[in-house]
Amino acid sequence: MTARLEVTNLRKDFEGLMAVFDVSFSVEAREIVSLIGPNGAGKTTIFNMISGILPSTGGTIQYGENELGGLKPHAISALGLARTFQNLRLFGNMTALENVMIGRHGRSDASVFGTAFRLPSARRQERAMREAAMRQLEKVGLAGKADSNALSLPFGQQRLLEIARALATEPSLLLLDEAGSGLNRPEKEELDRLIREIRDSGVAILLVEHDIPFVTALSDRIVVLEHGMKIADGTPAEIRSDERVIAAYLGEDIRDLC
Amino acid sequence: MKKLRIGPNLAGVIILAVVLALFGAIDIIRPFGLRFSDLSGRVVTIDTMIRIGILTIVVVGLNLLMGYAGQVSLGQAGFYALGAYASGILATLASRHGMLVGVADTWWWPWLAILIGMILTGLFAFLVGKPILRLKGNYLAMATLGLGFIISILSGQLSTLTGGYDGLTGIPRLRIGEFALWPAQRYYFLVWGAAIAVIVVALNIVHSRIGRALRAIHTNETAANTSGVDTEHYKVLALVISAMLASLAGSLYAHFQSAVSPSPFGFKASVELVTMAAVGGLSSIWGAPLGVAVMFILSNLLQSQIEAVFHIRGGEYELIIYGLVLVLIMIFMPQGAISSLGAWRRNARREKEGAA
Repeated sequence: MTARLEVTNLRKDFEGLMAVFDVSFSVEAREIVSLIGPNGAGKTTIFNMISGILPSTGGTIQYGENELGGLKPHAISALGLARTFQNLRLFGNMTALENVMIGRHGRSDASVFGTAFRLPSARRQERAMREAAMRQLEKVGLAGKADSNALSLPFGQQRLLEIARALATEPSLLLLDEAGSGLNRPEKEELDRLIREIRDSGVAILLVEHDIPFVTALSDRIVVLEHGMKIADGTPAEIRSDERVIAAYLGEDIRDLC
Repeated sequence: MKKLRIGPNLAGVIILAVVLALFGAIDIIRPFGLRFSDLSGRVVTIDTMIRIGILTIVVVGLNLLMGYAGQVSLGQAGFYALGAYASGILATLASRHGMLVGVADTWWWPWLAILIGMILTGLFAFLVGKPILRLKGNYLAMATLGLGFIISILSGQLSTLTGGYDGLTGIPRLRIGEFALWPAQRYYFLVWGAAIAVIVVALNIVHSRIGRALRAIHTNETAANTSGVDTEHYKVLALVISAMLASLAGSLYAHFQSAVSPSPFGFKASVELVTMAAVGGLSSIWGAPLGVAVMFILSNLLQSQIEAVFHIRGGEYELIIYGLVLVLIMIFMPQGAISSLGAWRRNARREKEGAA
C-alpha cells in the first residue's frame, strides 16, 4: 500500500529559535525526493517531526488518510513510515540479524503468555520473523554477516544494516537521513543502486543528503531549505538554475557542484 | 531443517533441577544418617536453600527489568512485601477476622491468595509504572526508592490490616488437600520447583520478540521506538512481570516464615536484591540463582564470624559487605560475575593458544 506524504506549513520553535518555519512539500508514491540545504537548515528536525520523535509546534503532516501529528513513533512506523539515522543507532548488544528482527517487531503480535510458554503460534511467528529479517539482509547484501555483532561491521555495512532494519518494517515511505555520508565512492554507487531498487519495489523515498551530485542523479524532485525555510522545490534541473539556491550555497556555483 | 536439539539453556535447567532434587532427597532419605547441611559443614542448610530459592524468583524479575529493559528499580522489596502481605492477610482472614469461614480456611484458599496477590501487585505496578517509567536513570532510581519506602512505611502503619510493626502471625502452611508441604524438607521442593519454572519462563521471554524489544529499549529507546516497538508499553510490561514475580516470592516467604513483618522488606532488602542481581550479571537469567547464593552465603558467614570474633550481636554489618561488593562489581565486573568469568576463561584460553 502506498500513500502520499503531505507536509503543510510545518513549524518547529525551540523556545524562540525557529528551526523550521512554515515548510510545505509533498512526496508522491514511488517518488524519490531529497531535502538539501546548508547545516542548520532544519532537515533533520523535519525528519524527527515526521517520524514522531519531536512534536511540531505548527502545521500538519498528512500521510494518506492519517494525520501524523501527536502519534508515537511506533504508531507512525505501523502506518508504513520507516527511517534511518544520520548518526547510526544500531543495537550494539545484538547481532545484525537481531537488529533487523527488531524491525519485524511491529509486524508480529506474539504475546508475553505465548512466548513465556513457547506456544506453537509464538514459535511459528519467531521463525517467520527470522526468515523475513534474513530476506532483508540478503537484499542489502549482508546475509553472510547475520550472526556478527552489529557494531563489529565496517561503517558502510552498518549503514546498510540500518536500511535493512527500516525495510523490515515493510514501509511504503522510507526516510534516509544522510545515508550516504561517510561512504566511499563504490559504496555510494552501491547505495544509489539499492535506493533505486527499493523505489522500484514500490516504496517512496525521502532523502536528507549533502552530496549534491549524488542527490541530483538520484532524485525526482529536490526541496531546498535555508534557515528553516523552503527556498526552492523542483526537478534537479530547475534547482540547478535557481538563483536563491545558488546564493544559499555561499556563492558557490551550484552548477559547478553538479 | 531443524531437529529438536538440547540447547545450553535446556541442559542447564535439567542439570539444575536434577542436582537440586538430589540435594533435597538427602534430607528426606537420610542416607547413612547424613543431612543436607552436612555437605557444606553445616553452613548451607535446607533453610538457607529455601531462602535462596525464594530470592532467586525476585532476582530473575529484577534481571528482566534492569538487565534487559535497562530500567532501574531500588524499590523491588516493596513488591516483594506486597506479595507477602497479600498472602499473610488473605490466608488469615478466617482465623483473625472470622471472615469467609468455610472458604478462607480451606486448603486451596492460600493458593488462590497467592494468585490474587500476584494480580493485585501486577495491577499496582501497572498503575505506578505509567508515570514513573517516563523518568530515566537517576530520577527513576529515586522514584522507585521512594515507592519502596512508601510501601514499607504503610505496611507498618496500617496496623489493623497488617498487624503493624509486630506483623502478622499464624499464617498457615501450604497444603495440597491433606498433604502438607511442610516440614521445610518438603517446602524446599515447592520453592525450587517454582524457582525453576520462573527461570524457564524468563529464558523463554528473553529469547523471543519480547526479550529482543526489551534489549532494544535498553540500548537505544528512540531507535527501538521508530523501528516499531511500543517502548512505553514494554517498559511497563517489564515492571509488571518483575513485580508479579516479586509478589510470588513474597507469598512463598510468608508461608515459609508463617509470619510477616515490615522489617525484611525495607530499603536494605532492595539494595541486597540489586547487589545479588549485579553479582550474577544483570543481563543473565542464570546469574540470578548464582548471585543470590553467593551473596546470601557470604553475608551469612561474615555475620556469624563478626559475631564470634567481636562478641557483638544483632548488628546489620552484612550491609557493609553488600555495599562493598556492589562497588567492586561495578568497577571490576560491570557485566556481572558470570559473564566476566566467561570472558576471563576465553582470554586465558586465547593466551594459551597464542603461546603454544
